[in-house]
Amino acid sequence: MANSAPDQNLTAKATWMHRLAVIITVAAAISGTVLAAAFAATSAWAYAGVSVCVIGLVVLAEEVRRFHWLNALAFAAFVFLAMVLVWRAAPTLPALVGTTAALAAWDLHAFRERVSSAGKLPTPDAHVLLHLRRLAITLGVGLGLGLMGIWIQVDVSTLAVAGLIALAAIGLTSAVAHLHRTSD
Amino acid sequence: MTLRRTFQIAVLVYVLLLAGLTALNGAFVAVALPLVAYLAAVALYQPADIRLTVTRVISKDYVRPDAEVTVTVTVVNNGADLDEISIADSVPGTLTVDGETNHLVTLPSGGTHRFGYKVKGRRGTHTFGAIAITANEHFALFRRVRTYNVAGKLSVLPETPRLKSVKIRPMRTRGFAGPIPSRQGGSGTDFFGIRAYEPGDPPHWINWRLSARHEQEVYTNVFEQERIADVGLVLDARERSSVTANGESLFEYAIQVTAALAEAFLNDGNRVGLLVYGRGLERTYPDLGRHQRQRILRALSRAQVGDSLVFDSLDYLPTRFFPAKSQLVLVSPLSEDDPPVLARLRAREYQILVVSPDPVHFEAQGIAAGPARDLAVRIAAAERQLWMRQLQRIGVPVINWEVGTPLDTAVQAGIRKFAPRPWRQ
Repeated sequence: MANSAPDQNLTAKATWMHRLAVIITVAAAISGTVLAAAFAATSAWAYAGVSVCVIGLVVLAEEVRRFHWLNALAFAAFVFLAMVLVWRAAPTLPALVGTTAALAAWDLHAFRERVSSAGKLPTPDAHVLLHLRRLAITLGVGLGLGLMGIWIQVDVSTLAVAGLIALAAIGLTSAVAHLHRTSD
Repeated sequence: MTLRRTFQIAVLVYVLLLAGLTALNGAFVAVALPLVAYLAAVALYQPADIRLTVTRVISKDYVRPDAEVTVTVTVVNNGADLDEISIADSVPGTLTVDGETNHLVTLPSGGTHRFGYKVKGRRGTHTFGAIAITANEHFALFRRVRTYNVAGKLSVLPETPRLKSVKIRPMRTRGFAGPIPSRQGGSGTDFFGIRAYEPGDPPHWINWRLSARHEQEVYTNVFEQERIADVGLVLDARERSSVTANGESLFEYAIQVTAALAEAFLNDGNRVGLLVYGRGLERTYPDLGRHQRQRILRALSRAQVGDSLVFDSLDYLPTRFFPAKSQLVLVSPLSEDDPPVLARLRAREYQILVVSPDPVHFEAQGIAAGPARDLAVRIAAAERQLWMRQLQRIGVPVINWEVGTPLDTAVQAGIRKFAPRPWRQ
């Protein structure tokens, strides 16, 4: 009786670890499937096959701890496949959805690793739900901005586009440098 | 891992922006926007500077071996909300932990997180390390690490086997009543001599048998006064005492013997001091009573074997630490150059008792049986017997204790064997 609270806690954590593994696999499957379908629509069967194979990398990373680094490789692969899709002048929406889902899988994998190695998680439900909520909001905002980027067409000169992109790159560099400096 | 993840996502964004710049295609930028939003969320939710109050409370400072002790860690957030903090307490590897020392929590401003775990261990002083706190936002790309040096020490006292009263007979006693015959007449229990009757002597002290043989005189029995004495315990902590077999150390048994002797002598009311002789000199000055017992046990909990060029031989025993003509009890497995030193101490009228955990049979347990082992054991045992006989010839009793046998049996048998005859006037 005295140990029932810690046992329940362990059970709740284990349950969430399993659920997160399922969510990660589903997110990777969405990413891979959407990209594969988009490639198939343009008859790029090789790329479609690669998209499906990358799902397998994510599954392997979840199932075998030794291969956890495969998740990072899978994320980069999904983003690369999204770039190829855009390069082939395919519709941008599948690339956007694929990237977003891949980002979700990548983030949740790191979260799952962190929680499983943490020792004890006193409030597993609250902790995990808070993360999921925040991730959902962030990805929702990102997806919304991406959709706006697709649907809202603004005629801008080539020079302006180049300038804006360069500005974005500089801003990003500053932000990452600041994060790196102030982070321990 | 944090830096690698930040680097990875930043590189992907750069590549997408570069691709957009190269192809002058805004679709690449659109695809990069979820990643940019992710980085923006990291920047938005990055934790402020950590302002925490961290304390660790250990339920007991001194415990017996394998007794459970509860450690409670409390973290209070005096700063802004912290999305995710990892609290990691570092427990010495010499302790066994029951519970979790690593917690991952969300701590709002003003919030408190308290957790506990149990530890237990063997004899020694176990010092806890710092408590590391890592705070990050939920995506863990930004991290702040702080280390809190919270003092924590647990001393596990040695086991103390039960020992009955150990009869000793030093040349000099102290002025308080105790169990040791003082070689002086007075009130006591042992017959000491006869003297002429003096008015005031209790009638039951009159020696009627002797008085009946003298018509004019009456004689009174005189008894030997029993007093307390000064006892100096010397624990041999030189490296040569560290004999190990089957993962056990003979030095641990020597410590148990010392603890048992200290308790027995203090229970008899004697004044007991301790000297740990090895890497250096650790002294516990002579005193009486329960507090002295605690001091000695704490000193024994800290004792470790060590080497020193100066204290390699017993020649440098600080005899000034021991009152003249007092009782010295040396706990040592003995080595070849010890008997001459003990002979010199004996010559200075110290009463010496050696309690020696047998290293030969102890070490033999860890060696596979065979003719070579048996021969080696016989030779080593014979050599040891020789040293013990040398000491016994000069009046230094040696109690040889095989550690598998009860200590009390060995000590009492040794005391009886070497008990001196009562001193007669």
